[in-house]
Amino acid sequence: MNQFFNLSRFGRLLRKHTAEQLPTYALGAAVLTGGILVVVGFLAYVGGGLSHMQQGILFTLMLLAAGSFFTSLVLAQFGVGSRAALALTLPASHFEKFLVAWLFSLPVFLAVFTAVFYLADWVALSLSPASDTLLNIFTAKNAPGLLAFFLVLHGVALWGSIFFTRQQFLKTAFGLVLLSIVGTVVNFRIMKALLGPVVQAVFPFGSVKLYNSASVTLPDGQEQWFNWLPLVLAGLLWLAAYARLTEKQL
Amino acid sequence: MVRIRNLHFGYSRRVLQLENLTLDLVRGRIYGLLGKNGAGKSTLLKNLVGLAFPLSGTCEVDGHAAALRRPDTLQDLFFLPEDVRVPAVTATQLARSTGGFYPRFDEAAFHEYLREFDVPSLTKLTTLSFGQQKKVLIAFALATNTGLLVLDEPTNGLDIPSKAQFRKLVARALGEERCVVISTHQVRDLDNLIDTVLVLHERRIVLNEVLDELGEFISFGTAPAGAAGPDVLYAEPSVRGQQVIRPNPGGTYSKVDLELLFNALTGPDKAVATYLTQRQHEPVL
Repeated sequence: MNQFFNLSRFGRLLRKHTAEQLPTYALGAAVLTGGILVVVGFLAYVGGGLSHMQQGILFTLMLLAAGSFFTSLVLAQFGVGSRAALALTLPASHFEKFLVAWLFSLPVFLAVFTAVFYLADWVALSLSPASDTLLNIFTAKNAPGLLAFFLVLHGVALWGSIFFTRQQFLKTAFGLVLLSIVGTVVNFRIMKALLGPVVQAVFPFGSVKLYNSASVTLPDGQEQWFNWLPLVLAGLLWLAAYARLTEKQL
Repeated sequence: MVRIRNLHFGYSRRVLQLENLTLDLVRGRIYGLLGKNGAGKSTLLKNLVGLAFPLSGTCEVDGHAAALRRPDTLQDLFFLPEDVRVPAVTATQLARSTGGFYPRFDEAAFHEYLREFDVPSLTKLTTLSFGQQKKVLIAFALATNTGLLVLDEPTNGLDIPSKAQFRKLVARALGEERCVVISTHQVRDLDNLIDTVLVLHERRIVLNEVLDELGEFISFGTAPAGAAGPDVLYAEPSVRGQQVIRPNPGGTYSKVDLELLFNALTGPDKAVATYLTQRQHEPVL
């Protein structure tokens, strides 16, 4: 039997995870629906309706918040204590265990969240006749960018869920904020040292804005490579989370 | 079954918990792993099942490094940790969702063990008491029929009748193809259960002996207070005078008093340990 991946073993693991976690996930989905309904309904009531833009902003913020929170717990069962001992010694490969967590936290979560958001949005809008029609997230022009950002955030949260053993969400969020601040400051200092005091603003993996209203950017052909950056980052973070799982000790 | 060679382990390189440990565990035996609190019993068991990785040396189960946690290796071992946390399912659901991972899992035997432990099989495990949850997992562990069964302080949290029941079930579940390792700091819990005793003390295995052979080499008895005699290897006061360990030159079997032996090996007086070590080095002819 293949020690890395076996379909019947993976299926058994998927069924076990579903059987044991379904009540918790169902409760979580119900809470999420209620939460979205309250927020969307309140804003529609106060503002006299919701525009497409407002619906898009709400969808984005809630997706990022709920997704990163859920993902930051999805590998926590391997973190510490007797629960982790039983989970790590369950006869399935590390890859199969990782894949179950990945599936539930990414495609399954995205599908459930989108359905839940649409349900809550539809209810709120039907009670507020002055609103725009339902937002179609699949045709929104920012959808690819949002998905790319979500993938990176998912990678960070997944890594945090196995790297930290307690308070995974808080610690990962704190680490991410700290890293973003330090990265931005260091990047700014380096660019200022290279280009001199004309540098007005610069962000990691972005163009440099100068005080004379000019900016330094890569040629279009090369700048398109940055579209792949979120996918590469997400892939590396998934790999790091998987590696951490294989070397997990109690 | 388990082969450990020159194993060094510590959560930091400066403070070792296990040092240069060499050990073989074979099928058909029930090993009792004894040690004081903090001696490293759980750490050794974690190394055995691949939950802790040696700093140096090797720990293999059926020829494969335990740390790799290969599915083929894991499906022939079951580790029951000291503290248990059960999923929110019934025992019957647990058997259906998890039993399939173990090729020799016997669902009928699982339910039989539950009946003997007097634990309901259709109640959610999370609503049971800690002792009952532990009994469910002990029953599950026995029913997996894995070649290697590792139980870390399994009797903690069990009431007195359940401890006797536990001993009976483990003795019944042992077969020629099975190696059972039970760690405890409550020596009396293993009375009449184990056939081989391992004592872990000061980062090393200081005793690895079959009890029947041990009982033919040293004898356990009593002596009047203050009159133990020059041949006594170890003595400690008791209500009936003194409990003593002596050499057993005649080789007549003497029932091993595990608690007394453990105190003799882990106390400051090293006479018993020295005597046993000399015996191991005696020439055959």
